[in-house]
Amino acid sequence: MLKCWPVIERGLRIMSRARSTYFSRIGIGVLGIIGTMMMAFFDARSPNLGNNNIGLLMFSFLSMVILTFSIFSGIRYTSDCIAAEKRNGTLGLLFLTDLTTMDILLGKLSANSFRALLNLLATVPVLSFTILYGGVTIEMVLKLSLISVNQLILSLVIGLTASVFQTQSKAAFSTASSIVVGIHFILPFIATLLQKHFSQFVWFTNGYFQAFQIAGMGGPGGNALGAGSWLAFAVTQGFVLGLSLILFRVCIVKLSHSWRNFTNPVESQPARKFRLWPSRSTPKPKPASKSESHQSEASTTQPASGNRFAGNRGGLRLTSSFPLDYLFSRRKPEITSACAMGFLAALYLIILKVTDGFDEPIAGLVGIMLSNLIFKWQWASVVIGAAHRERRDGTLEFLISTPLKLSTIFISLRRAAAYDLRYSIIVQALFQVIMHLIIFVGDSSSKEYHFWTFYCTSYVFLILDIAALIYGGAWLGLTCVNYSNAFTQSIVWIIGMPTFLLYLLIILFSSIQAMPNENDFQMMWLVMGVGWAVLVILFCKAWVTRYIRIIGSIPFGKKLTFKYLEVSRNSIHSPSAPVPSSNPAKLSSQPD
Amino acid sequence: MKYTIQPDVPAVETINLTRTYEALTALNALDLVVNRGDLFGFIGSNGAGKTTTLRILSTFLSPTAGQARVLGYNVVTQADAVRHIIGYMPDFFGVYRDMIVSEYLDFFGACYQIGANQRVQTINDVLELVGLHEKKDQLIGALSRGMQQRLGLARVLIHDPELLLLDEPASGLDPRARVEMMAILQELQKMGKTIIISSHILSELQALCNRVAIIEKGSLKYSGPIEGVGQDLSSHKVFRVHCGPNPESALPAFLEIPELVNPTILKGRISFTLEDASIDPARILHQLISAGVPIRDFHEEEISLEKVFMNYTSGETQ
Repeated sequence: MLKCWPVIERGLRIMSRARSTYFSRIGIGVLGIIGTMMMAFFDARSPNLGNNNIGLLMFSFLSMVILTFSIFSGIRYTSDCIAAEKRNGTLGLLFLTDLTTMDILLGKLSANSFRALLNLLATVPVLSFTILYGGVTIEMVLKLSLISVNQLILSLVIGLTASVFQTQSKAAFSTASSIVVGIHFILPFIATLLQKHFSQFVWFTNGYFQAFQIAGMGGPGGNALGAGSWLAFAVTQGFVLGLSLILFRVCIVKLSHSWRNFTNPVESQPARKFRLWPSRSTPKPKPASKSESHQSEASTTQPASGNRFAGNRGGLRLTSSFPLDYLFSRRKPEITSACAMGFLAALYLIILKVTDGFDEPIAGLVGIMLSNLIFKWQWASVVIGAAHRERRDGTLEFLISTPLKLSTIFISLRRAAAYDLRYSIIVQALFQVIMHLIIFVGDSSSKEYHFWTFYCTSYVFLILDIAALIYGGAWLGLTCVNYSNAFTQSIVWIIGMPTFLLYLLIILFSSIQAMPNENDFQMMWLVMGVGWAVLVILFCKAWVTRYIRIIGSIPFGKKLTFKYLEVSRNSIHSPSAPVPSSNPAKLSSQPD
Repeated sequence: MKYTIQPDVPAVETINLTRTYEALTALNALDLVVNRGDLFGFIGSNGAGKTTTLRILSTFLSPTAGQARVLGYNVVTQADAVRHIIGYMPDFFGVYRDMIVSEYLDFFGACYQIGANQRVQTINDVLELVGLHEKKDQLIGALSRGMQQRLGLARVLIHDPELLLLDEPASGLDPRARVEMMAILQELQKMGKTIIISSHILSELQALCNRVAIIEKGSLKYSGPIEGVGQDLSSHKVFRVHCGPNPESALPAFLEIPELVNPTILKGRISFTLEDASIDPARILHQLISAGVPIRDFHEEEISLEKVFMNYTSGETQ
C-alpha cells in the first residue's frame, strides 16, 4: 500500500475544488486551438508553402508552447506546496503521523504532477493535427512528448525544492524561477561558449539543446528533432532525469532536518522592513556628546522609539547624514533587489552581444517589454503589499486613531513606496535607455519604425506606469479586501497594458517589415491578436468577478474620500469614546 | 504498526532533561514522572519551559541533555513509536481550511494507516465525543475558533493514543467553550487516557487535574497530587467568620482567645489564623458561641492553586 496515498488524495481533492484547475486546462486548450487556427488560416492564404511545411510550422509553434509550459508551469504548481504547510503550521502534524519525509514529498509531487500532466495532455489532440498535415513523423511527436514530460518533472521538482527551502509563497516562487532560469538559460549559454571554444563539448551541448532544437527549428525545412540520434536523446534526457532525482534527494535530506522548525503557524509574509516616511516635522536629533557616542551608534540599528512617525524608518534613526547611514547599513534589500534585476538585465545584454545571429532590434524590444513586466510586477507587489499590510496587521486602525490626517497616511505610504523602489526604477530606466541604443545602433532602418515618436512615447509610458502603480497600488492596498499574487498580476496587466501593447505593436510592425509577404503576415498577426484578446478578456472576467467587491468598495467621486478609512475612523471616534489628543483641532480635519 | 506498551511503565518519565537555545536554558535538569491515567496539569509562567517540555515529549524537539521516555519509549531513539502512541495538540496549530471536517479527520486517519472501514466509525465516534457531529460536512474555514480547537482535539484522538499532550487547549476559547473542553478532557480521563495539559487558567486546572507540576525558569518547583499542592503553605490555617452586620462588636470575643493569631475585620468578616495545626477548630467555634458571638458562617479558607503558584514562583522569566 502506498503510504503517500492520503497526501495525494488530499491534494487532488483540493485541486478539484479550485477554479484555476479548470481555467488552466481550458486556457491551454484554447491557446492550442488558436495557434492551429492561425496556422490553418496561414495555410489557406499561402498555398505556395505546401502541406509538409505547414505541418512543420505548426509543430514548431506547438512545441514552443508545450516546452514553455513544461519548463515554467511545474514550479507554479509545486513551489508553494510545502511552504504553505510550513506557514499554516500543518507540516509538523503530518510528521506526527506514520508518514515519512519521502511519503510527504512524494505525495505532494504526485498530486501536483497529475494536475500538470493533465494540462499537458490537453495539447495532445492539437499535436495530432500536425501529423495529419504531414512533414512531422511519429518519432518527432514521441520525442517531444518525452522531452515535455521530462522537463515538466524537472520543473515540478525544482518547485518542490524551492518550497522545502522557503517559507513564503513569493520567495519560493522566486527561488524556483531563478533555478529554472539558471538551468535553462545560463547553463545553455555556458554550453554555447564551451562549444565555441572546445569542440569536444559538442556532444554535451547538442544533447542539452535537444529540447531547444525543437523550438529553434521553426520554419520550413527544420528537422533537427527527426535527425537526432536516439542515443544522444537518451543521454540528454537521462541527464535531466538525473538532475530531478538529485534535487528530490536534496529535498528529502533538507526537510528531514528542518521540519521541526515549522511546527507552529508562521506569519504569512515577512515583516516589512520599510515603514512610513517620517513627517516633515521630525526634529533633528541632537548631536551626541563624546560620552554618549557609543549609545548613538547603537541607536542607529535600533528603533528610536515606538512611533513610526518619529524618525524611525526601517530600524534606523534618521539623522542629517541619513542617506549615507542608510546606504552603508546592512538592511537595504531594495538595493539587493535592484542589483538582482540589474544582473538579469546585464545577463540579457551579454547574451544579446555574444549570441551570433541575434536580431538586435527585435531582441532589444522584447527585452524592454519583458523587463517592463518584471519590474512592474515587483513594483505593484511592493506597493500593494505594503499598503495592505497596514490593514491586515491591524496597524491601519492604529494609524487612523491618531490625529494624523488620512491624506497624510496615504501620502506617506506613497512616498515610502516610491523611496523603496527608487533603485529598481533607476535600473529599469537605464536598461531601457541601453536597449534603445542597441536597437538604434543595431538597425540603421530604425527610423522607419517611427523612431522618435515611439521612444519618447515609451518613456512617457514608463513614467505613467510608475505613477499609476505607486498611486493606484497604495490606494488599492488600503482598500482591497483580499490581497494575493493573482491580484497583483491583474493590476500589473491592467496598468501595464498600454505599454505592453505599444511594444507588442512595434515588434509586430518590425517583424512584418522583415517578412516576405506582408499581407499574409498582417492577417496572421491579426488573427493571433484577436485570439490573444479573447484570452485576456476571459481571464480578466475571472479576475474582475473575484475582485468585484474591491472594485465596488473603491469610492469614486469628486473628492478622494476613503470610504473604508472614514468608516473605521467614525467607529473609533464615536461620541461615546472621545479620542484623547494633544491637538484636538487636527482630529476634526477631514481628508483632502 | 502496533507498538506494545509495558503495563508497569509510567506514562512520562524525564531524567535530567535539559534543553538550551544558545545562551538560554529553557529546561534545566527536569525530573518529572507522570503516572498512567493521570490528568496532569503543567503550570508555569510564559517562558517557563512548558511548551519546550511538551515539544520534547512529542518528538518535535531534541533534548540537549538528559532523557525522556513516553510509555517506556525513548523520545529520541524511538521517535516513531512515541509519535504513534501520543496525540499532541500544540498551542498554535494550523488546520486545512479548504477541507471539510470529516475529510480532515479521514486524511489524518489514513496517514495513521487506519483502515477505511474503521476510519468511518472512528471519525463518527470522535466527532460525537467532541460535539462536532453536526458539523461533519462543514468547511473547516467556516468553523469558529472554539470549533477548530475541538477539531484539533478530534484529530489528536483519531488514532486512539494512550497519551494526550495538550498545550494550552483552552486558550482563546470563550468561557462556555472552555467548560465544555474541560468536560471532554474529564471524559477522556475516564476512558483511561493519560492527559498532560498546560494551561494558565489555574482555577480550571484545580478542578480538573489530579496531579500538577509547577515549573519556573526551566526548573521543577513542585510535582505531586493536587491535594498536596498547598501543604507546604498550610502549616497555619486561616479562618473567616461571619458575625452579622456589626463585626466590630464581636471582635473583642476573638481577641480574648489566646490561640487566635491576628484577628482582623476584612470585608465584613472576621479573619484569624491558627498557627498550631493540632488545635481543633470546633473547640474555637464552641468558645465563640459560648461568648455570645452571633455566628452565621465559620469556614476555613481554601488555598487556591493561584496562591500556591504565586508562592512557588517569583515571576521571573527567561
